[in-house]
Amino acid sequence: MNAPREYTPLTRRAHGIAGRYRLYLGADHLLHVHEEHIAERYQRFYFRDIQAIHVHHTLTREVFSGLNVFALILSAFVLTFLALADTPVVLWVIASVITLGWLVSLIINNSRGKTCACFIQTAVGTEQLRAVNRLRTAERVISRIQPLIEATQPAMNRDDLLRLVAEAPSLHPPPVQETVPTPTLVPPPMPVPATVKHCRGRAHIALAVLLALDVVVSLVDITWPMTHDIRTMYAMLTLFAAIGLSIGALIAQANSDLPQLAKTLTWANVGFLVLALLASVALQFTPYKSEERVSQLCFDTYSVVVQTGLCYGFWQALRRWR
Amino acid sequence: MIAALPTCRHCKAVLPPVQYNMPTPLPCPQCGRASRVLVFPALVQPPPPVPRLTAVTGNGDAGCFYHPAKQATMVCDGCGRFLCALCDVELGSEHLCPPCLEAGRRKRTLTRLETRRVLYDNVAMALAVLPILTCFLFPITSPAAIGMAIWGWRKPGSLLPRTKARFVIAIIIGVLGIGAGIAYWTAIIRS
Repeated sequence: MNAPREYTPLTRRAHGIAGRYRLYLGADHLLHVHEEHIAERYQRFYFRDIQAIHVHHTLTREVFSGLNVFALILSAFVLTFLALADTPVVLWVIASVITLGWLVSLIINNSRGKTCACFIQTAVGTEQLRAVNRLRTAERVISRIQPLIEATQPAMNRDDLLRLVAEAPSLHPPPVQETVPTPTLVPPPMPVPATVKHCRGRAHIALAVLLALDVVVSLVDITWPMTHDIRTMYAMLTLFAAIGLSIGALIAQANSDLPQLAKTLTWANVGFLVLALLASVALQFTPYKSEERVSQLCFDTYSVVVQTGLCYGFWQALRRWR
Repeated sequence: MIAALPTCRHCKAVLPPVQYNMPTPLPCPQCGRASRVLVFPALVQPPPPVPRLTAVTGNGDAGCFYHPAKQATMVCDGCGRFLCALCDVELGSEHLCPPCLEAGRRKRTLTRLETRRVLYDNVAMALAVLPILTCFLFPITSPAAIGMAIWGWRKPGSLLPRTKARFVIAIIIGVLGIGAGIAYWTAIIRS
């Protein structure tokens, strides 16, 4: 007969820069394990000593998703170029694997839910549980350990607990920190920006119209190819107009009441312009000069996809505005 | 006594008690970032009282082994000696005397006191596998991997359930590495 297991895993392994982390449930404590490849470090939190657990939402998932999408678009662009150009198959296979990797990473990152930072507080100090980095995991862990903690500590309802907490700081004031305001029962009012100006979003609308126009011209170019000179001239004019309108939109939206989506899309458009410029420069140095038409086709296709998305976003953000 | 009130991770502002023990996350009043705070009675509990030492009255009272004039209140779970409140060290559900505690720490029999353990199986695996990148290190690292696997076999490993598979794999790779090295040098000498 097998001996009962001393520790039950509460979370999966979370990967960090300094190693891997995992949280285990013991008989009367939590065990936080930090695996450092050739050694393990242990932190024990006894249920009777746990004073508080805080779970703070973080933007890690959104940041990684943004980077993932950027890398995915870039690698898909390269992949399409390699597929249509006369390049060795091995390069296409490598690019496919990389693109697939980014796609899988994006799907996994989003399917695991929102990210968070979880802290556990005892009389000794506050420690971060790096093994708990997703909101769903945090909820599951809390629902599992909360009854165990409450069972080892004196029973107290929420009102009594809050009353004691509210009374305690006046008797035992916490160490004063420079940026920490005095705790009060009534939350202080939300900080209001000094000057919030009204923005009608004209520059944004003009930018959206320009993007829509460019989508139409790109579709025409894909169907009936333009001559090199006309295309170059049109591209230069569009680029300068887009840069000018983007700068105008960024100035207009600063400290304004414009919807956050419109502001974000303006920055996304700036990112797209930078990406398009980099791609144009890269295409100038490509060794496959004979494939200029193919590369132009790829570029037009991705421009159409991204610009359509931006146009739709601007329309959604500004249709009920003004 | 409250050591510190929970603070927002982003702006370091103290989170107001109205946010405590709510079923859903609430925004920080300073920065607006959502957070959920659960507090437990230990936050407001007074510190445990200082143990009182009482003298032996002589009416069948047992005295402490280390302080015979003081009344014993506990029996050491390690050596069975009577202990007064001063000598009793509570470790989880166990009560130990200071010498047993020190012996347990030194001999590593009290796992609850350990904060770090070396994973000898991972060391052996690293010695066996990593030199694949630089083949000329194999003559040194392959025997070292086997030696580490044998030396660390009976050493206390992880506190968590773990098999000996890594030791076995390290030994196999080490033996293969030595065999390949011998074959290579034999071929060179013969040619």
